[in-house]
Amino acid sequence: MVVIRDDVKFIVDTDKCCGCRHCIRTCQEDVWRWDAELNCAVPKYAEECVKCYQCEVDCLGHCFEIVPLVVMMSDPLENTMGEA
Amino acid sequence: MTDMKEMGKVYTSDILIVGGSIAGLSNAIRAKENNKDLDILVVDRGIIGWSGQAAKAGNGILGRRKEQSVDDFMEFSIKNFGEYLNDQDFLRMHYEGIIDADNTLLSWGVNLSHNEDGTLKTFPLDNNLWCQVGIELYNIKSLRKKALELGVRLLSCVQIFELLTDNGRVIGAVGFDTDHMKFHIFNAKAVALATNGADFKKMGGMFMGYGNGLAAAYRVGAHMRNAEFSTEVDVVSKATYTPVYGCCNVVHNALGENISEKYAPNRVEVSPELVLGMYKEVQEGRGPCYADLTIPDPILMEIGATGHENDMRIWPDKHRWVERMHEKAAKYGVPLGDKPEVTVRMNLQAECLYVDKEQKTTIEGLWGSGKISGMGCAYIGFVRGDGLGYALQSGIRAADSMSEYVKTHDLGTIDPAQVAALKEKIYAPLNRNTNHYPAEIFSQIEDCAFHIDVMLAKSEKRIKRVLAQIEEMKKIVPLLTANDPHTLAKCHEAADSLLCLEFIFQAALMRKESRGGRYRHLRVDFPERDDVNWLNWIVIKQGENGEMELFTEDVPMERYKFQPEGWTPRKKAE
Repeated sequence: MVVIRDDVKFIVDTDKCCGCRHCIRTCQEDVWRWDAELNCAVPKYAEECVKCYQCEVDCLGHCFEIVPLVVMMSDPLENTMGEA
Repeated sequence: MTDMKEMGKVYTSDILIVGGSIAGLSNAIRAKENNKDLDILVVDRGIIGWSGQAAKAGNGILGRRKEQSVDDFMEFSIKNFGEYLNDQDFLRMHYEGIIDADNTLLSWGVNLSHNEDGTLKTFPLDNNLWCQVGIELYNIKSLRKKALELGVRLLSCVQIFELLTDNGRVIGAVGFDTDHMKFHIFNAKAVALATNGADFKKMGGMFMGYGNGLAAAYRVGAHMRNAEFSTEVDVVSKATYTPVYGCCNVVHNALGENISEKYAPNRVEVSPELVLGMYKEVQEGRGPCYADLTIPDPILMEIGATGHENDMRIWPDKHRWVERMHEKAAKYGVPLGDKPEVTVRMNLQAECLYVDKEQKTTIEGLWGSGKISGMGCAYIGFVRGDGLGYALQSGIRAADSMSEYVKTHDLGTIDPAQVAALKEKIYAPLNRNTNHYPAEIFSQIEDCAFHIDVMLAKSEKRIKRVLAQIEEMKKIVPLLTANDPHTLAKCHEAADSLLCLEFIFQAALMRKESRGGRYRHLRVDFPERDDVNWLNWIVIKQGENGEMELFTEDVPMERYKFQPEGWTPRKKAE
């Protein structure tokens, strides 16, 4: 399963999910939910990911990878200031 | 109670704590230690033990050695961070309490750096004013274990949005569970908010508060204080967007010049001067900037914790997490190396719940601890590691105060009509058929506020521009729609974040001077500090007709030990 939202891509091997739900437990942004039909955790709200990777670190099955598509949309130092 | 049970699941407890990170769990554990018979319930929107900002800490907790002078530390913080706006009574109490609090945390089973005899192992800074103590990343997991051992009740995955009152006294809260959206009603003799403040979505990095606690408190009449001191600046790696800890003195431009020395020499923290200097360098064509981590620098060693791989300064769980960040940077971006390219990150934060030395808010029955009150308590002595340090101590203080309060107070009386009205308000987005979703608000907040000129170098014109944009965004709030629990929660998070944004910019408009260190309030149209007119705190409250009211409170400088040079008491007006 590949899920792309905004600036992040989740590559999930659903067959390898061991059901530990550590991703759900550890995510502070409610990205992960349990999918009863697929019998595995899925990044239902992937757009909320803040790329802390804690879910990936804690996953017992090593069943997914988070790919940062864009770390920063723009560098604030390169933006011009507004009017004086 | 029959009516109530038809509306939702009802819980009663002696003490209700909203937020289960380090402040909330410290509050719960200490209250149980004070009286094992107290019924204590902790509620959190995430899963308690892994939820909250402290679960992403691990770079150290503030420590102090007995021989280190509290007065010297206070003087440093007052001159560098608060610029005399500190509540010096609170600051002294806080700094004096560091050693006991850290030892208490150790006794609760949290892994802290320690010597062979079990005593705390501290790592002093070069200035010898304070220390760092190593702490495990999974500190909340350890606190959860302790809380459960003592019989604290934990309720995960329930998000609180409103407080219940009985004749002006807070007696409970309401919210829904984030799995099934069922309504939950809480009744308690005393309520504590340990919910974090507001961090305004992704630009705040991975430390996220959504302002629900602040907004709920404001709506029942609690005061806010120091909202204008809101912008924390950091130098971050462009490859990971995470802080390069301790690099404040080693930032260079593309020509190899040390621009830390040029704009903000010999600092212990990243300063607005350094950030504006980096901006100038890049704008004038001398970018990009990088941090030279090969330079021997005491702050880099102590805050960045280099050279401490095997002495508990940084625990293995934190190392694993940081290593993952570096692996990602190497695989999908640019390897960090020892000269990472850097930029700035501005964290806009509302932490303005007004609390006193017992962590009491201005509303009876309501306490606040941790980040939600970080600026509202006005100690303004925050250094690295004191996010955890303040959360810990404030949780303990709240517990002691609440333990006494519940001895003489009952549960109060819940008004079913009040509960029904709040329930209707909370679920209202489910009944709207519009195309307005909460992401629209968060996106507009980022568009209007997250620029150097409005966050760090404010002016009346820029502030008014943001306030006008806030008014436009407020028109969208009643149109927000949701069809699942996640999005329903986001609707309220968006609305409450917007309210917190208004706190910040209304207070920033009122304060016509520049002041402060780490959370500097910088007005380019009033660039100087004004000790004649602005040695006072700006307080915000909700007026009788729902409008935002701002007023000032004098800092009681007359009785404080540390006073600005040349300061004399102001003559009272005739």
